[in-house]
Amino acid sequence: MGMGKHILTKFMNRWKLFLGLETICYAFGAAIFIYFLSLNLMYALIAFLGISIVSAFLIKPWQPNLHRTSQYIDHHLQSAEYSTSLFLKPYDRLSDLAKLQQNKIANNIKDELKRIQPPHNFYRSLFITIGFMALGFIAYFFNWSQYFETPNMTPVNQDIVTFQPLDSLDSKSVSPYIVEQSVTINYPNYTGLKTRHSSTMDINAVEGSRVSWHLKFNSDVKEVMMESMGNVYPLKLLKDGYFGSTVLQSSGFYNFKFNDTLGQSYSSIYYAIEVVKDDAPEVEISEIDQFTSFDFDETKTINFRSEITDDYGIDQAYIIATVSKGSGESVKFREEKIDFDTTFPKGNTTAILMKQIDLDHMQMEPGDELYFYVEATDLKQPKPNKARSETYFAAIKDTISYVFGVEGTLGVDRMPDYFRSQRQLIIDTEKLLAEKADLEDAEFKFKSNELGYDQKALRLKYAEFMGEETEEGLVIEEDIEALEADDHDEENLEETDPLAEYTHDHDGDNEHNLVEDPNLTEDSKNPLQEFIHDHEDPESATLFEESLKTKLLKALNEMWDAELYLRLYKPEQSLPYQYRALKHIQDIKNSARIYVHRIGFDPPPIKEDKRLTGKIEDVKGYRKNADLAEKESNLYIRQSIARLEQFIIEGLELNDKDKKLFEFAGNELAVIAIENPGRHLKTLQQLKSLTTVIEISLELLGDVQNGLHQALPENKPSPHQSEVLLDELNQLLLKELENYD
Amino acid sequence: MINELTYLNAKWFWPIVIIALLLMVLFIWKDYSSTRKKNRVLKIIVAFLAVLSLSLMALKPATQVKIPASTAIILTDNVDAEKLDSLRSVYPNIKTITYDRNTPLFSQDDRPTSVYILGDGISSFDLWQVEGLVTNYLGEGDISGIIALNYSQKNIKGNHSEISGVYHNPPSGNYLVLEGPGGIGLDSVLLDQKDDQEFKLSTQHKAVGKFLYALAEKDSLGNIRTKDPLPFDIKDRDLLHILMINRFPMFETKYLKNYLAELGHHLVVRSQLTKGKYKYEYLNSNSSYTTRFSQKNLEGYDLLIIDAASLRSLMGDQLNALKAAINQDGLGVYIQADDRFFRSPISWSGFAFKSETSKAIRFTNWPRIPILKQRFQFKDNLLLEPMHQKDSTIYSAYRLSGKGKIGSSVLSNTYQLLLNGHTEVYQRIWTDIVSEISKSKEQFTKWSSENSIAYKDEPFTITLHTNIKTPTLRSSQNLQLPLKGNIDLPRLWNVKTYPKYLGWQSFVLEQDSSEAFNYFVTDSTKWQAMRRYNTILVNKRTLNDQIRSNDQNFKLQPINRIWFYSVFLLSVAYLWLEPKL
Repeated sequence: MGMGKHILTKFMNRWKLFLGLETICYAFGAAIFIYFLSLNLMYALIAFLGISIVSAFLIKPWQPNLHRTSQYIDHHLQSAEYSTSLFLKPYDRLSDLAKLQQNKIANNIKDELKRIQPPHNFYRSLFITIGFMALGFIAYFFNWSQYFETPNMTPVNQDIVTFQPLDSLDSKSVSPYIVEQSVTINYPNYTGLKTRHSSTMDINAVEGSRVSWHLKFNSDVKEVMMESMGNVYPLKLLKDGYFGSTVLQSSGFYNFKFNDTLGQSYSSIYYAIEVVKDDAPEVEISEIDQFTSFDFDETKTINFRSEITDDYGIDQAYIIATVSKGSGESVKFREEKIDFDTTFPKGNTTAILMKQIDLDHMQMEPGDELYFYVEATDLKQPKPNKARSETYFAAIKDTISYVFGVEGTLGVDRMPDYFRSQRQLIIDTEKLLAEKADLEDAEFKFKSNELGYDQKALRLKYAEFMGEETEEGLVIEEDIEALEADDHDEENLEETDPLAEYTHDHDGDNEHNLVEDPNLTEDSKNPLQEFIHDHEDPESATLFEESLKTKLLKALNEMWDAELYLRLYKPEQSLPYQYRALKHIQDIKNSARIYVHRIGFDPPPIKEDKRLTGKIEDVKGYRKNADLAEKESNLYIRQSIARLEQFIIEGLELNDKDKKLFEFAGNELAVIAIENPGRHLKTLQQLKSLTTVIEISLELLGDVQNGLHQALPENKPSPHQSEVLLDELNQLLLKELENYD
Repeated sequence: MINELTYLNAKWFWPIVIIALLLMVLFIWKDYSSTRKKNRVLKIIVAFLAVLSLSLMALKPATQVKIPASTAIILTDNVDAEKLDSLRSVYPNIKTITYDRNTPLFSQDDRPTSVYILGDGISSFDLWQVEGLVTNYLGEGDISGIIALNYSQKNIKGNHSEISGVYHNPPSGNYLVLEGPGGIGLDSVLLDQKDDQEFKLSTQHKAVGKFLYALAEKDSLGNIRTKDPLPFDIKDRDLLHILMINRFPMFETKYLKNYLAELGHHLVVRSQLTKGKYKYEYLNSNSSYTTRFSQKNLEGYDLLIIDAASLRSLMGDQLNALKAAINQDGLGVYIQADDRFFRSPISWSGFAFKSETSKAIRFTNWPRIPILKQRFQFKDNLLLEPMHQKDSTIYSAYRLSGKGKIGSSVLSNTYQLLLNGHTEVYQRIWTDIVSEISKSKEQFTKWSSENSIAYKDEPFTITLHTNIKTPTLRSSQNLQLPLKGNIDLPRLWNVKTYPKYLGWQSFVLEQDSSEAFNYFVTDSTKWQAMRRYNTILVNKRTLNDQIRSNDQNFKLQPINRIWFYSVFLLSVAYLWLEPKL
């Protein structure tokens, strides 16, 4: 009775078991696969649980019950005759037939049940599991998991100081490296700039700044040094790493070097220090002319504005004024320091200051002159930069003598005497025009005519040099001038009067002859030839070269026109002509000038009084020893180039002497490189690596040689000795040549 | 038997004859001791024949036989395949021999009578192998490269070197670059002409030592096509001892002495202050140098710079001493000329001037700056050597006088160039003048070689001038090298060596080890165009000039021994058979 049910139950249990195993199989396979991929137990466990839950829901191992079991058996077992459901019913309620059937079937299926299997896909799941496990194993073997890993991007810090071992033997231990580095730049107080921290080792700072370095290593090292321009500075070990500091004065290069505890040396690459100098302030004065002059009765005030700029701050600005009284030997100077009318806060980088100077308050009288300039200092410590502007002039015109102001950059009237005549005419004409309003008509005309006559006299004087005929005997002013001429005239004192007149020249201040005669030969023994004024022969009466003659002709033409307008009582129209005439005359004078350079020539010490007396006993000869040879520039670089060539061709080994040579060459190159760091820095680093690294490649040698050669400047041309072989034949030949000669 | 008979084994003649005679005697004795008398004479004759043939077999007589004419083709580098094929079609079975440097072309027995040479040709040092043959050189060669090169291997630091040459068939757009130490580019020229392009490259030497420069050909992309070595041997300059004598201080002297002193030369300057009083300046030299004019004192100087007035005032002993110093010791004298000197030069100076109009001069290839001069120029003379000249007008020149030189110049006030900032021109003028006129350094030995570059395993010839009576030469491996003396000139020697090692090598004279001759050995892959061109030239010149000779070559051929053998066999057969019959 219960046997049937028992059979069913057994079958059902078997079914459930299979389904459960299937579930677990899937989960297991997935877990193994995940484990092989990730090598992480956690992930595998999670996968196992997850997949098992999922597959449980899909497969539902709890599903089979007796009812389904019996249905299944009915469908699949013929001998069950669809009567297995009978087992499920309580025995009492069954009819006899049913009981019979039940017993029969129970006996039937007892043995035959073994023939059927509960529906399951266990084997399939087993197969899949094994497949996954194999796949996982292969993935592990071939490391496919790494493709799925997100790369751990550690940011590469470009600024980190990296060290190269000085010998390239494989070090067994990992070399120490820097974990923390910083550069602190303390700018000078006066600049007002804040302290700057940075991790970049290239430094750009104002001179006078204090720079501190801080390096921290991951492990202990024995000592740390900084090398710069041939000097070695050790860094101090404090609690937090290695410190070092210095005050920047000049540009250069430096690098770090440290020795670790095993005695291995490491060195870093070169870093650059650029020192920016504190410039002096720039001072400018505006709103005023360089030279101003006042009449006595005017209000004598000058207003000007000064603009001062500095890069880091201005400290002070003031005016230095000098008053000069008198002239000649009795001139007196008085200097004063005057402040500006406006103020500015100390430390500003720009300042615009105004000042008004009243010459009366400076106790100046007519004829006095005032020179002033603005001076400014900046905040630089310890020694501030000073700058000054140009000098400006203010003068009160003297009432006694007519001193006309000269435009120009000079405060002293350097108008040479010989310009007076035409110049004087211009001045007088301008004065006349200025006074036109005040003069009566007749007086104006009279003065204009007088000027015209003066112009004519000047023109005639010039025309005489040209060999043109004189209109009438020219007397008057010339006599006075002739008397004065005797003083000026050196060589021609004994000459006759006509000559004296013509040799003194208001318009020309040269020697007796205006222009040297290019055709002068020794045959012309007659010095008078140049000066004898031959009116008969116009051809020979030329003292000038051709071009000068045309210039003078032009000048004369202008003078004609000037005289015309002056006589026509139109001085304003004659002015342009007068200016042009002056210009031509000036041209002629300038072309005949000889310029001699001022050379610092110190003659041997000769006693002046003895020299003039002609006694030479006290004049002693003397000897002078001097060593003027310039040292050969860049000696070590040149030697290095030659030595490198030897290495390249013959392949020798570097020894200590060579390393020293390269070190010196590196110092020389550093000096050149300061001007042009971009160009030579690479060579500098390579040169350094030659001294420190043991393994050197041919390419490196060639590159260094290349860079050194580029850095050398061109040599100056210098005389050298030639070589000659004198053998018997050559000597015979020379003897023969001599005989021929 | 056309010509005479020779015996190849002639040295065995007498032993063979003796043995033959002995044999004959033996036979005759044997024959007479036998009883049969019939045909005795015949038997003796036949025996004689047998013995004769036997001895002749041993002696190996030979005759001179004409060698049949045979032709061969010698294949050298860069053979033109077309020419080869056309030759082969004319001579179907012609033999080809490939030529390798320094290896024999053919053995003695194997010599063809005429050869055709294809390709670049046989190197000049192997040409002896085809002597006596009829040769036809058929190579033409399509060369693209540098075929001629001219430069001076030895130079002095600070000087410029000029490298000039000819490039044949330049590929358009390529550059020739002169590379210095480390491969730095010093000068370059663009190859843009059609057939032959002449080029000139120059550089200044900045360091002392032996350097390997290179002449590289680069295409427009910068890739290097060929790179050939240019060895240079740079020496340091020597410093001169210069004496300057002035009547009165001059600006010209002042700036000149400063310039020379700064370069390190040793100067002694004497200028006159007043009558009998002088100012002496010793620049870079000690006061022990005196300025008195005696030949012994002047020996210590290389150059004397003196103004014309002082020179005119030299009298008697002083003048003779100066002349002796110039003629015998090689002193150089530069005369700072004044106006009087130009109009009436000092007679023993040998100069003559003519006047001209220009006041300034600009030299070609110099910076365009006018250099002031007096209105004179030199009158040309057979013995006058110009130092500065433009077209045919000479502005600075010197004249040889014995061993020394006397020079002068019409350039005046050159110090103004310095003051105007044209330092380079000033330095150039005075470098030229001082270098040319100053005393030359006497050498005991002078080396010269045709090429400055030697090739490994190829002969390299050097000529040596020396005053040493029997020089001994050692190479850098300390091996002694044989010197071949010249018959006519006792001081001239020749050395030929085959360099075995690459790189810088040197020769040193045992008797005078101060001066070594440095040369650079490279392998045959360099300067290929030039070597090919030279080889072709040599082959063309020598090989096609040979007259077609009628001399046939003969060789000895031994008479075939079978004849003797058959005679011997017959005679012996008869002798043996005769009693039986």
